[in-house]
Amino acid sequence: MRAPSPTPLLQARAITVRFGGLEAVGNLDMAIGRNAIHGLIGPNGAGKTTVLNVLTGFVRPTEGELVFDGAEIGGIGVNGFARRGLARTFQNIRLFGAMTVLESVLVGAHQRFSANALSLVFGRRAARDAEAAMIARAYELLAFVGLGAEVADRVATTLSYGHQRRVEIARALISSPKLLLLDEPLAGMNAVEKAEIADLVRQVRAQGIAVLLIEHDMQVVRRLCDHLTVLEYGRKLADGPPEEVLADPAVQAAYLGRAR
Amino acid sequence: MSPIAPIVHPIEPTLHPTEPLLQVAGLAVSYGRIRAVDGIDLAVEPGRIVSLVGSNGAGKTTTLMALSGLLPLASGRIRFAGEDITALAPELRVARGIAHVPERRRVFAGMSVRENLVLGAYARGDAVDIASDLDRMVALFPRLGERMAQLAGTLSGGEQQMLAIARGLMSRPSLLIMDEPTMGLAPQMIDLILDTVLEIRKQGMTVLLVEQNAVEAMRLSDHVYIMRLGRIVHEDSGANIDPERVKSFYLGADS
Amino acid sequence: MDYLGQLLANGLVLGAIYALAAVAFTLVYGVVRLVNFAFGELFMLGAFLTASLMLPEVRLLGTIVPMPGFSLPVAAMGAITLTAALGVLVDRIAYRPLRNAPRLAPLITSIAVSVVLQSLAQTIWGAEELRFPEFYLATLPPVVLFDSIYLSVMDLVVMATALAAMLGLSAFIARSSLGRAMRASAEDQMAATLVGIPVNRVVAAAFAIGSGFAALAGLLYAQTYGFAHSSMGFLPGLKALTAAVLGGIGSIPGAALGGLILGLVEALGSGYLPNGTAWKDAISFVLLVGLLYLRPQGLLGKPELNSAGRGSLLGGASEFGAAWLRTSFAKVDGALARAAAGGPRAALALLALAILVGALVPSDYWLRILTMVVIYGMLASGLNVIVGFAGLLDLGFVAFWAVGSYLTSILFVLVLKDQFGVAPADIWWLLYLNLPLAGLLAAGFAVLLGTPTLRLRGDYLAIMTLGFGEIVRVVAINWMDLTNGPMGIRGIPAPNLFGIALGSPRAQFFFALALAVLVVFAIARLVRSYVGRAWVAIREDEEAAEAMGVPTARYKLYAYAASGFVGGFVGVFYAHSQQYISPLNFSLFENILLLMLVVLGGLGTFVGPFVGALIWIVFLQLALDLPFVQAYPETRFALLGVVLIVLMVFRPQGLAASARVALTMPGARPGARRVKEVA
Repeated sequence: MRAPSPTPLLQARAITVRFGGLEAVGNLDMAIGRNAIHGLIGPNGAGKTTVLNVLTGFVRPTEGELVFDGAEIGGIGVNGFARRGLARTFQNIRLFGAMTVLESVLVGAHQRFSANALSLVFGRRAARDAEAAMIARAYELLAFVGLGAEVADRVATTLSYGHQRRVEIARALISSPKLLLLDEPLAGMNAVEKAEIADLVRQVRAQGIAVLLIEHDMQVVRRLCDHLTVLEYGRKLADGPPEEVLADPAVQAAYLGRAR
Repeated sequence: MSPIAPIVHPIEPTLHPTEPLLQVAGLAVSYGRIRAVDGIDLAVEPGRIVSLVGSNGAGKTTTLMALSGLLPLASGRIRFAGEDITALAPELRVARGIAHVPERRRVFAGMSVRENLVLGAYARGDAVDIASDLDRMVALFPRLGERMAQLAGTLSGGEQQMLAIARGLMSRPSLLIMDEPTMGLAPQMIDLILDTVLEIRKQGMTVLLVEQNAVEAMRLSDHVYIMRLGRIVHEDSGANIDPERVKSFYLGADS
Repeated sequence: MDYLGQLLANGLVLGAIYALAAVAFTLVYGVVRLVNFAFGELFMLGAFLTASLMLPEVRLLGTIVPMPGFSLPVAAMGAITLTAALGVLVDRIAYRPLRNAPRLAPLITSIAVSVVLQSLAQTIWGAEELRFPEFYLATLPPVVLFDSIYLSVMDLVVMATALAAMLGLSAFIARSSLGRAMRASAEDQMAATLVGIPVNRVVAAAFAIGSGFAALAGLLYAQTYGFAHSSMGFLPGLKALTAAVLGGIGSIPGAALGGLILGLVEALGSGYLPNGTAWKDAISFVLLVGLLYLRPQGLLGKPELNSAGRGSLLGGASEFGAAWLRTSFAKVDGALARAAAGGPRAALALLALAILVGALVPSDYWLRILTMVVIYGMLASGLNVIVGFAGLLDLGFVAFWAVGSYLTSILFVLVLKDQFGVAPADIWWLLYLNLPLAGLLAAGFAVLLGTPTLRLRGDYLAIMTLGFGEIVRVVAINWMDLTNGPMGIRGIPAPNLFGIALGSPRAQFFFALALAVLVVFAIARLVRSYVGRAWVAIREDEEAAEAMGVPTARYKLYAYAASGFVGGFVGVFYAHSQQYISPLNFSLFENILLLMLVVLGGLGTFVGPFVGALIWIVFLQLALDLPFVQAYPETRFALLGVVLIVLMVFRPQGLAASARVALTMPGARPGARRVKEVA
């Protein structure tokens, strides 16, 4: 039963987030389609990262509900979101300090391991096989994100910025997510690197994984995304195909400001 | 004649007539291996409003933080009022006449409005005129006057911005650096803040402004620098800048 | 009623002293977010300095030195000034370089400072108590309130002084320019810098005031109890920290409130509970643990203080130190890294070396010392699981060790031998049963300890585990029926295998070595799997680990359990090897020592704990040959503390910075060949 369903993969319904008295997100409805590259944009302080944090369980919405892949999710803890198939990267890359690239990626596969302490201590065959399978998968994914096997044993945080970004994406992908959420994946990159990461995002989608993307480089957003949601002051300002949304005078005003 | 007593106390003696108040050459700042600002030159003439505009992540805030000494430079020199301040401690830059109104205001939320303002004069050392300066701030922002004893954290966003600006002015600066003073504010409040910027300038203050509202920034600035990926990609007088060009930097329209 | 009134009065006096010392913790924490464990020692120094300045002459370093013989107020002012200056100096040398380091580094440094100061005080003033000279007010007859409550004049002076100092400080913080700057720096250092506040100088002022308050509290305490002693700051320091946390650390009224509550609760508890004086220390810690569980921010505190930045254990490269220092560190580092990365072959070589040494060393004396090295190495390995791999600073680890030692000792001696008259040799096998049993029991304890700490991070976690450790120690001292109390348990049989006594030093060494192989093997197997990866991920970035699907709370408990298991397991052997245990064996100092050994040898490595134990214990013995050390044995501990401080300041990442253990299962790597096929 893998018939493509018309229902969206993720539906956020009437999400409101308040911090203290401050409303960071207000009554947001948003749907991310299966197999979409969905852009979430808006000026600074519009609440984009808060929305992404809601979608990954980091922030519990004050009101509203989330339906993911046909089931309501909420109250399942951050790791529960990851287990359901929502994997993310962070705005400021957050790789694990003292770990090698391979080990970092394997942390993303945590939910795939189940050996108990005794079989680990006694080195049981099943435990070793599971480890070997995941290591092989990690190498595949490193190749997929464009990193050679030779970086596998380097401490991840010593890699270049662009490579760290790729490791982070591989770490998210190894859990075989249904939705990959990328928070400003192109920040701090040059034009060549940006094009490569954009390509990578397309390949991820080609694997049947939907992508939600927060990004400020509108040139890339315009070309890469097939759907955009624009936020301003925590509320939805526009929603639709990129060309249409970016031509919207309200969106232009949100970015450039209104003349008085 | 404005009802507001002048709030500007320019420091000039050492300034050569042709030298800008602030001059920055080859400024570069790195966060670890990421170069956030990559060798920029800036000049701010006395009595002007100069803006830095550009999309998120262009390096504007980083530039301002380097100017006030909060971030170490990878390279470059900063001259202010005829003096090289590249290696000067941040608190001494305040004493020299640079006031920085930071992004997101950062008022001292657990302290009263009055205490915030009094702290603004910390670097001055001359406690004598603080009372009259407080009066000037109240004249500039009457709403602060009504809330002198209130905790700053209980103010609205716009009022906090007023307080942050007033706190900066309390040090009697000759250069006021403002980082996104209108961020997250309601349109009416944005008007009020930007009017204040013009008012302060009218009294002779020099302003270096980072503003996301590019249209407004271009309108009220004497000179505009456009930043992208840590570099200055374009500069001109505010009136001469082509809005379409700015739009392309923000929205990525094919240009 | 009279009794209650007297208890309340006593509680107020004690509470006033706790409150003063709590202010020290709270003030400095408020401004720099550092729990300065060394305030307990500044408290003690305040007492010693005052007493010394009041006397006509004092024996310092064994020589009689003439002293001015000031009156109490003058001596107190002098002592407070000196202590304040010392506090500022300590901040400048030991803490300021670590201002931006991850939190574990300054915390460990402050513990090291505390060890240094205490050892130096003992070196200077000796191990005996220094009698606190009598001030003339103390000779006046006591004041009688309501016909029945007796308060000495000095008690009133203590309360009045405390009240005046607190009110003075509050006014200073509220009104003065420096006080305002202090509050501003506490709230937002960047904004404070931007208005022109020299934050470093403000921090120094906070240290000066805090240290002065600690000294004042210490001299009042010594005055009340009539003596000064080098370890007198330890418990009151912990109590003051408890009071600060109780009131909400960072809040000055909170510290005053917390101090008073603690003083009153202790006074009432020791007055009304059966055998209350003995249990009064436990009361405060139970209060602490309960409060941290229910309301981590304290009574008047703000909740956001209970959060710690993420990041590596100890920090990145230091910006300090000359080039030669860095190169020599790099050499040590490289060697240790090679040792750590050596894999099974290096491990076998090390083992062979250990066996060879064990077989060839002729002296029983040195064999006993080497056995201690192995025992401490194992214990440090257990602590290393929780601190080094999972990144949770645990100051209650000794409790697990105590659980193991007491379990086997109680069973062998107090139950089987004393109650049933069973000869230990007949039930030699029980030892082998007790090893895993004690491990499981201690693991259970560890989970109990761990569960309420799950919501806590950083400093609070350290404080809470410390409270737990102290509770276990107080229980071990006072639950006479179970533990024999302070007398300890004697006559624990030496290990025995099938009737063959393994009591000789050589046999014990090999026994310990065999256990060490088991311990390291088991830890290594767990660490080199998804479990170890989850631990290290939690250590490096808990939120990111959670976002990758790691149930971090559960894995923290696993780390506690594994660490506890090792502690209990080794504890069993420790008891049989020493043949005598008492609560003194399981003090917080032992925990601190183990922590220092792990840091010294390399957090998060397998050999590090053993390297640290080897260096320290062998040094401890060898140094005894030096005449200087013979005269002042305490200086060895001061030296260890200094080494730790230097290490943290110049090398915050530890001696073995690049020594990291692989976190993948050996034998599961496909090797480069298969990798190329995939690529």
